[in-house]
Amino acid sequence: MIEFQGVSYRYSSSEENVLKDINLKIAQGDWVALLGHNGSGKSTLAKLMNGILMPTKGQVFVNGVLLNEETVWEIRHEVGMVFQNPENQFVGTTVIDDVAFGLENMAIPREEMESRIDESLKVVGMTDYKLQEPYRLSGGQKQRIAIAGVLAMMPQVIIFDEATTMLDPSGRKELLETMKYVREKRDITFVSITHDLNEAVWADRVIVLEDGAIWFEGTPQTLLEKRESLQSTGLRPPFVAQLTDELRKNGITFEQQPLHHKDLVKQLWTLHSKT
Amino acid sequence: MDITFKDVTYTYQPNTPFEHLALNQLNFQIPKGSFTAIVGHTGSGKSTLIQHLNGLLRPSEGTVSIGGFELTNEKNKQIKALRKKVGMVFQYPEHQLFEETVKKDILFGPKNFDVAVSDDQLLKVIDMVGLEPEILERSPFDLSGGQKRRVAIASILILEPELLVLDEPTAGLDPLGQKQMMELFSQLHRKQDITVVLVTHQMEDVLAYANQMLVLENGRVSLKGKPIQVFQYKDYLRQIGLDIPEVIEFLEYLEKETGLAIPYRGQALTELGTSIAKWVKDGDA
Repeated sequence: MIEFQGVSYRYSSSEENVLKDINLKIAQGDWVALLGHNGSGKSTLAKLMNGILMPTKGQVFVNGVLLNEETVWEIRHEVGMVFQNPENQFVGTTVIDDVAFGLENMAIPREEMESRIDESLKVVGMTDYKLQEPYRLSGGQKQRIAIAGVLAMMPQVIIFDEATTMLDPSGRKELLETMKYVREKRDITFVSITHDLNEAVWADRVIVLEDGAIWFEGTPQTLLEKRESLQSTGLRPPFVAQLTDELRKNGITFEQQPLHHKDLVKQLWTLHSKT
Repeated sequence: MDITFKDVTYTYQPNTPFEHLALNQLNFQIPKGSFTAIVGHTGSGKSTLIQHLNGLLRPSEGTVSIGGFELTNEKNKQIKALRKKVGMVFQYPEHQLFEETVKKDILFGPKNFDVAVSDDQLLKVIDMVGLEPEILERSPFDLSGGQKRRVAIASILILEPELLVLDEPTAGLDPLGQKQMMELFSQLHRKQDITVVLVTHQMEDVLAYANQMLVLENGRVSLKGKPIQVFQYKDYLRQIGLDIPEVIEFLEYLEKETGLAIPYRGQALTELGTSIAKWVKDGDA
């Protein structure tokens, strides 16, 4: 779906490459979490996926099409983006206007527009807020509307560029639940850029960037097993991984690395029942 | 600086159709030298409250005492002297940087208060926030997000405040940056004996750093105490839209699913690991 071949990127104001010879493939229907601390290059990588930036060296392919000045508009229909600041992505005066905005630009017939808007608002659970003014919504709700706006365009990929970073913890949970639900309902590729490992554990695959290069690529389980070296990348092992460590020190052997509360408690219960 | 709110009420746009009661007969005390966290969902009155701490807002009714200063509905001529002693770190303070160099930005506050700053003081404050002296001559706009925020905080610390008011100071930083920032405030609190008031949604930080916690709801203090005591009221906190620290949430879930009850008294993870492991192996904790 998305492929990077030897991609490097350098901002014109700087002499150093922020991305260094990146090779990666993201398959259709995958949920890939892109992790790294501030300044690791993860947002730059995301911006290269839909042509907001063009590589200094190397090539980016979306759906087999080489991303360049000529194909960028066509590719942007396929790759939607939800940004960090919920305040900065509203254009409409009501929720419904806002979701309609992208469709109006694509000259979609009215009837189809309406059904797509309804569908999208339904998936993010915001149907009841259709006629609300966006400024009255909470941060989490605003981001859900932003997702609805992107969904209505029916892209094949959605990039979440630190979409949860500016939210408070309950907003973050709410958005994550929405993301999980959307994934169940629609066959869409997700790329979520984050520094929150609690968010990344829900992805199929995790890529950790460090200093502009790929430092790790694999499942969330394998990443959490590397937790000691994880600290060096500025990421904090989630609570569950830390507690799992303490349990291991006390002689508990886990069948596989627990990812979240439910997973950990289930494994503990099974172990307890065996004794 | 001791802080006392006595029957403080604040009304936005009084006598208009938009009249809104943000603080409602608020009473509480924050002792000098404490680290107090104020929590509450959006609209509970947190921002209105902290704007009273340096006289950005004056109470509609009641009295706010801060150190030797008294703030009422009357205009107070000492407000500038108060503002010198109260450092306010607003959300995303880096948005307030504007000078050509970091040095000029840090010296802007002292200039306004006619305070002379020696190079030694400047270097000390830069070191305090974990930056290198070379940064002083750089443009604040060429810095990373985390560095910018440190500069903004340095420009507040340079005035040597006695009270530091922090509004969501770690929002938007990565986990390492968040931890470093909180450690910095905790150090200032311990070593320089600064009174800290922290407004936050990060309950983990409240549990780790605060020695007192106020919960605001509808412009009133609905709970007050040590964080560990306040977090016992899990159901109430959830009901008013607040989070519970993850460790407490986990122990609650563990009990619900397995019947294993481990009351949380602030144990380190090491101790929790031992208790849970014992239960797994022996059948009881």
